[in-house]
Amino acid sequence: MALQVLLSATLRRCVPDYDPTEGIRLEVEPGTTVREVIRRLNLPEKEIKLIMVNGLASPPDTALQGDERVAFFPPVGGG
Amino acid sequence: MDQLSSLAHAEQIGDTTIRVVEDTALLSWAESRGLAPWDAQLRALEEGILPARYSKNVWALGLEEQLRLARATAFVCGCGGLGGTILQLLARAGVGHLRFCDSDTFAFSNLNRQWFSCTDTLGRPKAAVAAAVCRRINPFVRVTALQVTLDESTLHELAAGAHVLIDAVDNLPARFLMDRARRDYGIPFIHGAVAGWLGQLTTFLPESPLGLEHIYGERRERHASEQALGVLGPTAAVIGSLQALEAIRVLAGRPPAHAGRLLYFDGESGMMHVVPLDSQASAG
Repeated sequence: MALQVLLSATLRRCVPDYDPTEGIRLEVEPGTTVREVIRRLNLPEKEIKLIMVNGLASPPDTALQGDERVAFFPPVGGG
Repeated sequence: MDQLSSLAHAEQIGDTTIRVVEDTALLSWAESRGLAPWDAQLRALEEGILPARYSKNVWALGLEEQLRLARATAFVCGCGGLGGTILQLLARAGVGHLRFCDSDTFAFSNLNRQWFSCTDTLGRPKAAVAAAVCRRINPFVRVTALQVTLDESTLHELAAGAHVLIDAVDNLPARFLMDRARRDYGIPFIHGAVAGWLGQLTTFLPESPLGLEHIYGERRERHASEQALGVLGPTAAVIGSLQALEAIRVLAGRPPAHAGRLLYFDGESGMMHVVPLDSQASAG
């Protein structure tokens, strides 16, 4: 049982050899929050605008079971 | 001299019959009266006569709403990826006055996504090319095109008096200036931005306590790594189209669809997410 963590756009530069199809498999204890996942992966929390847990927008203090799909998105600024 | 109503003919559109007038008849009527085409269009709509070019708008927009569009001024900041899509759609929809600016000229790297860029417009000013195309698309639209950058010195001339402000820029300082104009002048602001496969959109109403800082936090410059994502043509067209739809809602007098919520488009997975902006403030 593991999380599938998906990173979008610029967040991918934070994880060397990131695989955009598979994402990152991450084993966590039940009750681990999304914020703890962000810290474990050394992601810049301030650059994350949208967090999706199993397809639902969720705040960083959401507690996880450990088998969810968690996706992180930054804001973009081009035109 | 012909009366306007004598130039119109009844046309069955769906289950309603509407009096319509063709472009050429309305244009020559305007010329014979010494009227600008956009003024002639207003006269027609005020008499309940629809320019035939809008006949496919009819089910979606009532005649009264089409008249509101014809009376409206939209300010679109930028004539690039987002702006090219937005301006062409608003010109076709019949927004009466399009005011826009861009200080740039077309380059090769624009060709993948910017609708006004073509091999024969490379090197030419974006604002002037956009003006010429908009006039070709719809001569009943008044076009005010300025080859300037939005900054403190041009903000008033560009934004004041518009009924909607539409973000089509590629940098954060200009966006934050537009957001300030939204509050100062009391004009709804439709924000859109793109990078790579991703796009985002929201509407800030004049009185809303929400602002761009709830999206970008304290950041006022784009990261170099984000600029390196580029922009795919369809991503810009999707967000630009959603901005144009929102502008049509707002200008027609309908409630906005995107106020208080951020729509996030992920073209890589094909998903669209909508998140309330205030509850996300802590993440930003």
